Amino acid sequence: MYLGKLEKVASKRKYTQAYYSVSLIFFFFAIFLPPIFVLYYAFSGWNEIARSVISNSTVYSEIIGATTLSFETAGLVTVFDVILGVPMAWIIARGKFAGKRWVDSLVDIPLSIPTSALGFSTGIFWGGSIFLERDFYIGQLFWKGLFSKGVYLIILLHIAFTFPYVVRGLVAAIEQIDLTHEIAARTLGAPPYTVFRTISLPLFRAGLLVGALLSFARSLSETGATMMVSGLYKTAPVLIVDWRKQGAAGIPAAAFISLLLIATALILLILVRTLSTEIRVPFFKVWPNAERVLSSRKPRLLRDGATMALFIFLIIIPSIFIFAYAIGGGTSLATGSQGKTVSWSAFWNSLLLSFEIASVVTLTNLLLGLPVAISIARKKLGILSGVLEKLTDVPLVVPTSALGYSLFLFWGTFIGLKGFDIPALIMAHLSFTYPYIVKTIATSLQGLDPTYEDVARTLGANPLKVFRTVAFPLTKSGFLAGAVMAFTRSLSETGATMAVVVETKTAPVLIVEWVQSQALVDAGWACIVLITISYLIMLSFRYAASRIGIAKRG
Amino acid sequence: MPDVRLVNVTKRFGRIVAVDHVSLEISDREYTTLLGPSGCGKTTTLRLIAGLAEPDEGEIYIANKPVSKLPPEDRGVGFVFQNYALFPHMDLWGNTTYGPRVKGWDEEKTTRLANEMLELVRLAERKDAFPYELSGGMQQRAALARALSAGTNLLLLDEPLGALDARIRSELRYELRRLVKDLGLTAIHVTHDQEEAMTISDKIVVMRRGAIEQIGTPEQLYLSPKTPFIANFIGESNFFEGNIMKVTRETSIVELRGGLLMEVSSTGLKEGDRVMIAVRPENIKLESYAPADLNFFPGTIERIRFMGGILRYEIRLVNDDIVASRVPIEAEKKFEVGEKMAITLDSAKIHVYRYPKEGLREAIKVE
Repeated sequence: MYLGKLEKVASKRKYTQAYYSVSLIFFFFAIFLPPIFVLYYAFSGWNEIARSVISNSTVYSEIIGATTLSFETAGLVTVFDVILGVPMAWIIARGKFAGKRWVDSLVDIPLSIPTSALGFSTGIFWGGSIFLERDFYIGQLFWKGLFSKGVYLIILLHIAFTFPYVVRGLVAAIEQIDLTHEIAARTLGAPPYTVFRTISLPLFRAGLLVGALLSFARSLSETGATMMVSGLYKTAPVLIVDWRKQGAAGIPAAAFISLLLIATALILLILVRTLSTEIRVPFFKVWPNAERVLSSRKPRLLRDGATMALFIFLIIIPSIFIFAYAIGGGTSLATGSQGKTVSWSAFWNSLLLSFEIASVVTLTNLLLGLPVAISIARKKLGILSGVLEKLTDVPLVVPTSALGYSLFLFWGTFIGLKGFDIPALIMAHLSFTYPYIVKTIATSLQGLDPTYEDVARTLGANPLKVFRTVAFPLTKSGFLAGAVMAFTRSLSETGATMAVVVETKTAPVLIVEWVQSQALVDAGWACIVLITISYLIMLSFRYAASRIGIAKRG
Repeated sequence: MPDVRLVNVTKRFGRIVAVDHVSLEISDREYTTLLGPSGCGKTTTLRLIAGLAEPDEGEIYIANKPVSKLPPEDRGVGFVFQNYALFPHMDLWGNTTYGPRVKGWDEEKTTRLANEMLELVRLAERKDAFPYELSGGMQQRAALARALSAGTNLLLLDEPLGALDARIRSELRYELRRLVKDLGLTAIHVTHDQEEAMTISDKIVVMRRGAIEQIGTPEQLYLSPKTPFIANFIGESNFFEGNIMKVTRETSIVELRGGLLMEVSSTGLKEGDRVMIAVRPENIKLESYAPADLNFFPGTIERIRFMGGILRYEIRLVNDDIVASRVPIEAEKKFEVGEKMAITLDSAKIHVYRYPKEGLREAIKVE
């Protein structure tokens, strides 16, 4: 009764307009501007950068070295992700076999593990005793390890956590292809492999490019997990954090790296967006016999088998290997962290802080992102809707440590950061989690036939009621997916956190520090705590969402 | 050459039998339509022929070769889809040359075939257009050109005109038939539109619930429907229920509800058999009122509908049956609603069926 009245009042034009205006202002100033503020800062302080960074050959070559390493890593990782991701996504989207749903959910595992825990897990899988700098037992098995800390470990780690981005984007794109196009090609005489190459691939190329871009950006952005396995090497985001710790003295160098990262990310974004729509495949050549052979049963089974094997061995096992450590690590725990004392009470506090930030950020973005998502999905604002859609990509591709640093400069310039640690952290996390919520909700709203809402309106429901009783129940899974992604991304973020504040530490940041100070046993257990809790949170999100559905029906 | 033969073909989807022991022969250069209500198995039959689905039982022969194990790309059929399925990332030229190119034909043959076919469907000028730039009718013709340039003699069409406006649809029907005939192709055309089937086909295969109900030329189906379902589905029919009262050498007398008597041609049924009778509305003639007699039933005009060149009368007979009659609009005698009158029937134009076990409604149901 009261709800009905409230909805009626709130549906009034002036309130709706106020809500939309607030959410637009929020988007522009809190989400979009911070990541690109560093561009302004770099230009206004260019002389300083030129003097203390570019003409200082030690600093300059360090920056170029780190940035090159970052780009090389991201490039290699993306290429690998695409090569393995295309057949993997094809298996998930088109395969017909028992246990397909199981494989499908396996892909998401690296996403559900906070990256710092993933760093640790990958580190002990590939590095074993070398990584731990002590004997590593799993049951009876003595695992010496393959790689020491450094470039190889960085690449293997990045492959594990970026892989789901490519596969998810691809699966969605492949599922959108109208099957009759492929069937038509078959009736015209093309064997399955030719159909894939000449029809399916061109039709899902946009999804492929976007997936690749996301994976590239995520690799470029990861900080904490990289720090765990990088040893003496430094990637660009790690360097930003290093300079950030030096306070004012580090500003020109850190601003310069941030500028490099953000500018590259933006250029890539624009390139990908144009490439995916403008470029057509003008001509193709067919080798009928060779492609016929490739389409036959044996090569197909071989390819699928190899894909699954690589997926399990390179992505899944390294990601969950930490549990083997937990099981086999009992003895190690007894010996303690070799005299390194860490404060578990500090960890519990940081964990609490992490959850507070993630909750605040998720709720705020849900509330203030919704009107933007609706505007994008329903093209309510004309051209502006299209512009908004493109702008929401920006925080998605900007490396988070550069974003955090940009935010640090932004707040430092206007208010000064003293005493504002937590608000500043929240601001940073708001920015990079925003697209996960808005884009996911917009996509699911786009999939909803607007006729349902029109019908509800003609039956006498006001806009808010229509949203509550029709649009929301039908797109609930989109809201849930967006919220889960935003929450877990915030929970696992290290780069942005370390670039904004130095003293205040969230749980993943603390874990990174423990690893760096060789308190490995404690770090391992802290990882397991973090994974378990974030998994439980995800479960409860799902549970809550299913309850909402039941209540609506009742 | 490309005659198509289905022998005892069955296709199941889970517990549903989509195609139920269908046997069918389609001769070379014949324009055949698979006609039936949605869910009758016509599209599945077409997909089985194309190799887009595999039969659970039976065998399919194209040009006397069993093809059930062949993948679609090796069957050499041309398939036109209801939504055309033109490749959105290729222009018309790319679409039309796709077949020749994936088959590895040389440049000269590819170009020649594609040009010929585009010329044939009057789209040679639009080679560079992308599918979304073409109108519905053009897309339909483009899909046809693409299927033909793959060098096929067997054209399979799945509701090819279904997505078009009524006007363009009827124009394209004739064009489609002429093209198939000019090129000497064998065509199998799936539709649920009986008017389309009547105007376009040499032979119609009416399907219902996964099985073939009747095969014949359009005329045969219309003039001698083998089952009440065909009588109802092809054109329109009035149905009566009755019992055979008397059988003579040439005719039988049927007693309808209310004691009305109808003389029909001999049926092979016995006295006392329950029957179902179908009469086309145009075979019901209207007369001035007179008392009931053999094939002469009094009634009252209940409703009149104007349908262009003809008037459709609905008449309530004295036994409360309602029948429809179609009369050319320029017929001399006109009737008004509520007017008492009578109808007469020509016994040669009455179709008699043994009363179906499942009842009249179920027997003629179009689902």
